[in-house]
Amino acid sequence: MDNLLVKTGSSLKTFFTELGGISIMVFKAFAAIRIRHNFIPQIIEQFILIGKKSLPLVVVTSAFMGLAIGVQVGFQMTGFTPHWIAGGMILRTILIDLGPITIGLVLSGRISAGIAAELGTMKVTEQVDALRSFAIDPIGYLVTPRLIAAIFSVPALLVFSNSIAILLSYVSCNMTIHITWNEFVQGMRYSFYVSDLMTSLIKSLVFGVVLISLGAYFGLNCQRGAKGVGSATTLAVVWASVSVFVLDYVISTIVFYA
Amino acid sequence: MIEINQLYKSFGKLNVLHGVDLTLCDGEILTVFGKSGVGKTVLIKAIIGLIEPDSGSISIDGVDVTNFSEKQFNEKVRPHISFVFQDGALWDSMTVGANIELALHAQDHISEAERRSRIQESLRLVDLSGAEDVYPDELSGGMLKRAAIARAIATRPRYLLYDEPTTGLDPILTNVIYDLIMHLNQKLGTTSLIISHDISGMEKISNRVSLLHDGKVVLTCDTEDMWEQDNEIFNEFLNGKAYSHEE
Repeated sequence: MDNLLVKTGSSLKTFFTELGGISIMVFKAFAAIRIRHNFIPQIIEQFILIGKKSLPLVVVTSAFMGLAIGVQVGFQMTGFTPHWIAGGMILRTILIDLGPITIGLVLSGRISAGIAAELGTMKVTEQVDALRSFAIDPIGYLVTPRLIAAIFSVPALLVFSNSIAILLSYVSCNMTIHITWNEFVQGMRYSFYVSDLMTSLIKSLVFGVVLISLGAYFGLNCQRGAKGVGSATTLAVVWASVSVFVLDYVISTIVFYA
Repeated sequence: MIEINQLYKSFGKLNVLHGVDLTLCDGEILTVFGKSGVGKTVLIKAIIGLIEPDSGSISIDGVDVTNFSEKQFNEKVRPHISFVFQDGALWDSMTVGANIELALHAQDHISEAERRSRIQESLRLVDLSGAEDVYPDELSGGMLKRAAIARAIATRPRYLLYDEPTTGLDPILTNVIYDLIMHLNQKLGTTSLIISHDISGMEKISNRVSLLHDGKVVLTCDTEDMWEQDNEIFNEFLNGKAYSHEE
């Protein structure tokens, strides 16, 4: 029992130490924001990496997520339930939860892991020390442009993702319960709330910042060698995936009950 | 002049440096020898603020920089000191030219034309003219080291710190790097601190040599007198016995 308490205490201590380290890094990254012409190409490069290059993956996952939810909702619409209800159910489900969670999970694998591996390799090959030796702040140079790019690109990806998922869910609903486009849109109109859209965008914004921060933090604090880079990448993906679910719950609670 | 007094540094229970005293005089080339893992790299990284010492002092041109913050190092120390990393540590996602350009980034006062000219001049000095658009992974080991030196000298530093600049190079390339270090010292008037294992090579180019042993500098002498020292540890090192004890 004592051993269990010691282990729990030690894990909690590690958790809060990491959380503190991540918070400090994010603060420093935002504090380092300044308009310097030679950082703008970097922001554009990161915008392309995070946004444009993630688009095919986001399109495919969102399409199948939409098709699956369309089939599921269609299956529930048996008996005397009016078909137009399907449009509203799908819209709210995708906007509030499924869209942001899908984006969050897809990007935790693609972006957080990628950043952790890239910065981790830079750390173990002394490239991060080289930046410091030339008076370049590694957080300002490596993390800030990625955060700025994520703030714009992740919500944009979400808009794509939600649109594709909703469209494809209509297709699968149409195939299962023969709902018409007008009925589907009517249901969406009845159930649309601006707060749902805002919740979706807020979640994507927060996920973007968190996923980048986790990847960067574990990369920059990577231990020696290939094993260290591997561990950093794994930690980034695990923390990112769990954070997506925790933050989804927290933001939903704040928006709908606070 | 860089003066290091009673410098201590440990990593957990491992005491790496305990009481290092070293002076680097203006214009000279000083080589610090020592067995692997004795803390040579820790010592030069501490000078430029990449590693924080536990105690002791480091003063550069009479200014005590030991307790400088990262910002103070960036403003007052790093513009005047360049570090050549053991494996080059070139930023591998960018070309050699972009590497040098980024190294000049902190020097805001440099115009675009001056920046271009410094890139070309640095590459010419290390005999890598035309390699501006080449990526680090396209360079050979010797070219990589020279590119790293080009990046280091582009900022026109007063001090150059080399961490094992010839490790992994064949004898011909090793001599090329030695000639380059000597040439840069004379042409640019820099003061150089070199970390190395290569006794015969360093004998050719250094003004003075120091031996770091068990976390302390056990002896510093003029290179021309290095074979006549009455110091057992130093003589054992010169004769290769320090390594035979370990391995």
